[in-house]
Amino acid sequence: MTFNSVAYAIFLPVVVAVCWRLRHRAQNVFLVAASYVFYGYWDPRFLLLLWFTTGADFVIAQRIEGEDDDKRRKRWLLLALTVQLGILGYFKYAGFFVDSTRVLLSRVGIEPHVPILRVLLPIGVSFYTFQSISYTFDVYRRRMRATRNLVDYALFVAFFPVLVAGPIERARHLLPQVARPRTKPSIEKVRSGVGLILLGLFKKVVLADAMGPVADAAFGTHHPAATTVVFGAYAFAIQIYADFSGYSDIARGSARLLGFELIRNFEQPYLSRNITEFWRRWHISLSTWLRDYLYVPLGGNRRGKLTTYRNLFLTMVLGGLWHGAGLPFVMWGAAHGALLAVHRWRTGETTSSVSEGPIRTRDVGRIFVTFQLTTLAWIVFRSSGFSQVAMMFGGLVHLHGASLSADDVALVGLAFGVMVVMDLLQRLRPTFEAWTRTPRPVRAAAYAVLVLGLIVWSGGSARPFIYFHF
Amino acid sequence: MTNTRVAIVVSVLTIVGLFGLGEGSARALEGRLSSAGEWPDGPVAEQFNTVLNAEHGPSVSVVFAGSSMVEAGVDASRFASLTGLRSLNVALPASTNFMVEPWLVHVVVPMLRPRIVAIGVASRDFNDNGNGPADALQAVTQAPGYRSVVARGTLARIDRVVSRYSALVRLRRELRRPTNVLRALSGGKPSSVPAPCASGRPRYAYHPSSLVSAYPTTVLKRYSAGGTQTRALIKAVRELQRLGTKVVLVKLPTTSDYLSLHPHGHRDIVAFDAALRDVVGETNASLIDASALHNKSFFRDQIHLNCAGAERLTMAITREWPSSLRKG
Repeated sequence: MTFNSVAYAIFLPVVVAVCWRLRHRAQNVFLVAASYVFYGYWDPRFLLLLWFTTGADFVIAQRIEGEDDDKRRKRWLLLALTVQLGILGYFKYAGFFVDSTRVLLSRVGIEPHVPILRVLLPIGVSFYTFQSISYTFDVYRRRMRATRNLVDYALFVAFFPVLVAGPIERARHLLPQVARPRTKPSIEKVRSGVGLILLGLFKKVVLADAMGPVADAAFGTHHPAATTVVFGAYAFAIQIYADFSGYSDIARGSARLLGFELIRNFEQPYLSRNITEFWRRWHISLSTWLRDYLYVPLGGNRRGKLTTYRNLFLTMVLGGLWHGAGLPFVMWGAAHGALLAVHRWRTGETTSSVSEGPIRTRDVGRIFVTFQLTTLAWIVFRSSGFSQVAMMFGGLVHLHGASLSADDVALVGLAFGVMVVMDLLQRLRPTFEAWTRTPRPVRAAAYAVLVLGLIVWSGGSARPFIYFHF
Repeated sequence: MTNTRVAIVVSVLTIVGLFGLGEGSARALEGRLSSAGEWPDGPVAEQFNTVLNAEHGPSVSVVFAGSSMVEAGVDASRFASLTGLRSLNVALPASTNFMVEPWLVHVVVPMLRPRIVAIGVASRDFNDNGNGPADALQAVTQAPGYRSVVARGTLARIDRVVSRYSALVRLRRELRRPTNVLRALSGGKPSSVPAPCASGRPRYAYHPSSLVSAYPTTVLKRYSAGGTQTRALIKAVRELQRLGTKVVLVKLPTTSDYLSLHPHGHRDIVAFDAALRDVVGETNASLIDASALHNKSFFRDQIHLNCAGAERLTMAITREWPSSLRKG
């Protein structure tokens, strides 16, 4: 069941209506059941893996907490990580590594008799595995107590707004909300929840789904002209941002209607003045996860400059690999790692110290450059392999070649304008409370424009959210 | 009234105003927006626009369908003036029997509800080995415009009902193309849909030389009639009849040179005639044989009639039109 489907438009109101008729404990049981229905809607077999992960992590976390001996605690942690990363590794990377090994061996003349591995990737596995790892780690580091309630833990792992594509919630943030009774949302909260869902749908249906075919056309050509590469890359930059941030908005809105507050996953990343600021604003739940559970354990910036640069690079390469087994993802991660390292070397700024002040006229140039750099990296990310990366970058110097239609180019321009306006408005009114200070007729006009956009752009073939692939 | 109430009233008026503006703008642009991006090529889009415009006009009694031979050869408005039956030419260039079901059964007839469908046929429509027809069929059936028209299910039904009343919903696909909107705003019109010779020139350019060189290796390649194309037509005619539509098959004229394009010459024409008889026998559809017009002066090339030829063919169809299907 996807957020942009009719099934979800029926599912969510029913769940919200039933949920608020129940007491707290019954609410949690009901939400777990609803989440399993939501997840099983894709393929009921996926539930088996989800149940196994939930059960294993629930038990192991209690074992970690129950042990005083550090060595034993560490062993339990290693067992948890083996289970979690083993599942992720098998379902996400096994096929890639077996195929790559086969290709490498055949290049040196060895033909291995290994069956072709075709593993069905359970949707959302990367997200809920990372969420589970954060819980186990935090229990191990004694930053939180292990929960004794299986239903609560099951809801933390499977809560349907975040289950499939995040935000990757931290146990310390979400579990307390699960465990304590929630108050019925105020009318303001309901409005803001519905507003977020509407905004998310607009981003997905109007911006992302309009840019999808343009990006497909540009990346599907064999001899693209420079304009095709440029506009195709812009189209994909807009598509992936609108698609993923739209998903996150709908997730946050849905959760708010159920009395939960999820973390913000995006904060106008394309208005960043440098690459470090970009990673403070892009896929925040993943970037902070990588910082806390990878970059810091690797030593962070505590062991000298060179080690810091190495850690930044390694973290981003692994962050790229998180998206999937493929050279383009690794190259994308490496490119961002290198950019982050260079920025750190040049300015000494970190994600926590980077300037977040209001945008000034003098920032426009830096924002432009940062956007171009991230867009160049998106070319790598969107490509199917190294040869396409080479072809697309080669196309940047070709004046002649396959070009996009005038409509496609105009659509990219329009979508870019809409995206910038929306981001600037969100920067001015970052919270719903701030938004409510806007005069009511202006808000009404904004909602009417969103609905009009949805009317015009609905009815096409709905595209799945991009991050479902990861 | 308190400030809050004023704000609420202003908000409601703003919303209503914006929706009214959207709907009004769409209505103002209606008829000037092209559906080309939704269909595999311009001619199909134009024919769909013809159907779309006719859907909201007076009811249509007769539609003429078939390939470019019908598109060039039948003057629907002349036929209407002669018979009093409001008529429309919805023929699709490059179509064959394969296209009759998707185009007529799933698009034209549900939208226009005509009493009679006249399908023009020639030997080219019956070849089972031609390598163009399957591609043309796929191009149409995979097109977003076609898929949205034939979509089934509750949502699609709701969508069609709302489309009837809201131009914004009805034209939303066309509104998604900026150049289309700009062209419409600047007063440009998509190619209108006149009768083939109303403007005194052909609506589409047909090229005899390319036709001659291409047909033996494409449309008429390894000619064989009586198989899949014939069955496709039988199935489509039965479907049309099941929908309550009378079907008239019109055997179209060609020049005598056309025979030389057939790989097996006259034998292919015999096979075609036999297949056509099968269709008539299996479906009880009426058959008008209008093929006795061979004079080259009536043709632009081997198969496409010119304006004078179109006049002759239209008159011939009118003359032979079954009396049971005449007005009243």
